[in-house]
Amino acid sequence: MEERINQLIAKHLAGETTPQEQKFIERWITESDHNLHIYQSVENIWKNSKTKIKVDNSDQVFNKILEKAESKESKPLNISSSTIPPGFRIAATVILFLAAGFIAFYAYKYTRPEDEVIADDFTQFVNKSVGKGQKLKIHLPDGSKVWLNSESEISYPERFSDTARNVTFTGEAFFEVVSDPKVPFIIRTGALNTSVLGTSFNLRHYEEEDHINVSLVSGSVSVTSDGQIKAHLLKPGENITYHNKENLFTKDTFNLKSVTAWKDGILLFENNSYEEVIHKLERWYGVEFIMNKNMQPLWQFSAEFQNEYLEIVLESISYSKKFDYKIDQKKVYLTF
Amino acid sequence: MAYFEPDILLKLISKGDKDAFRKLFDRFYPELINYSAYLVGSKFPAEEIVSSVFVSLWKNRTKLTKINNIKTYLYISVKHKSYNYHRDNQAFISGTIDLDEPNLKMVVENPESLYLDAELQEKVLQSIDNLPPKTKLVFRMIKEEGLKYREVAEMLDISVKTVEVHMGRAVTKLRSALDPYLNQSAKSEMPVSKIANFIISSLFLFIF
Repeated sequence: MEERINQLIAKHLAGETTPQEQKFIERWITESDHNLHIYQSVENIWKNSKTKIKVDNSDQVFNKILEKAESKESKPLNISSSTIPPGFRIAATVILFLAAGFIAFYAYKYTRPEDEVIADDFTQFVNKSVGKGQKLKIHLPDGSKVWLNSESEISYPERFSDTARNVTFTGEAFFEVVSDPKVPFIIRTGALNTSVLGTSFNLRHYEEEDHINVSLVSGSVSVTSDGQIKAHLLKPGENITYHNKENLFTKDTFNLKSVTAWKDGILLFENNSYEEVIHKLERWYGVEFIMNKNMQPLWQFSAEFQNEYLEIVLESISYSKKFDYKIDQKKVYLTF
Repeated sequence: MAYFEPDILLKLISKGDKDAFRKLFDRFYPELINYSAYLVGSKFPAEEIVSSVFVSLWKNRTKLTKINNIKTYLYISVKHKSYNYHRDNQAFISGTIDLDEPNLKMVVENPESLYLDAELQEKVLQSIDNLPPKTKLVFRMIKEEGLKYREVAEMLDISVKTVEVHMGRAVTKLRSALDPYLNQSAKSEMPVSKIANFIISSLFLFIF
């Protein structure tokens, strides 16, 4: 009943009541002092809730809007990326996993905040980024697909040129690139250029890590670094690691599942240390861990969770690793 | 700042008045970001989406006088663009995505207004901010944006009944959060003068 009364008071204050409701609420208000008091306190709240939402960079945004609307080539902003080319072009795809570092990601964010669409002379660039605890699948203008892992950012032109498909990227992503031998697909990440000749691959370059990984699932890619002429060709199943400081490459093979699990929603732990487990969970769920004491237990933890809630994951880990946990909004408290 | 009737702004904008366009932008942009961020799940694409709505508004300014209600027009445009965005950029893993937290800061409007209790305003602001996301959005759209229940229902794809439920819930929660504070300030009021007022006005009515 009280809930219904509150609904009617709100309706009355918003001027939305029907004549019957209006009669009812007026009678209710005059029924007792208590009712009157309730009505007055709601009215008081109502009067005092003049709030608005603040946007810091409104000048900048407004100018960009004007600029955009008045540019000669007056085509609408393509924000929906809905221009997926006909299916036949997706005949040969490349899957590539790329991962690149974090500091660059943040430096980038801070130096160019809110700059989603940057007007170059002729080309409009689109930036997409995902924060902690989020993942995003996007379609590029050529129909290629990109799965972005948490804390990753990609930038690409609204329309690719006829000669090259250039994208820049930090974080971790799985690329499924539409094959087009005449127009190479080039991913710029840190000091690396990865040219896709038609394939799928994972790219990992979080800046906090001092290396960049390219793992090829199918098709073929070539990788070059700044200041090195030699291009490294990858075969499916091969993984190349670029060590930033030493400016050198090492090649090995990789376990398909351990590299691509994240893209299928699988949170995978393979003999992970305590720090690795915490870091993975923080990034995956967008949470922050707080421990009751400063300690780093020796863990070798292996497990697999598919699309599982954080609580279930923690329950399962705590069972073998013996700790208590409490989840409060975006914070997780661990007690050993 | 003087209050500008959006539909008067629209006439000025259709004649190419940039100041009017800026006023319209200032008036609606932040709320639309909030709305779009709710629909698509994060602030980042919301800015892109809402900007693009304003870009096409300025581009098509000469045709603007055909729009009946600019507020509804803006909200509906943002809704469609947000849904398109959602369709094309689906967050591909459920359960790990937090759909409810556009990262925007709410502030008290005109905290310097004399006739309003600044401290209470701040408290009300906090309490509104703590409402469940959808309830908060509905409450703000009705209360701050002056949208109709029916319009909000349409924009959020919920029933008018659900809007009522959210509003009732908002009132319940705000009351329980603010009651101690409201009672305190109620005590400081002078009931005697109130009664006197009442008697005087009653007499007044009686006489005439």
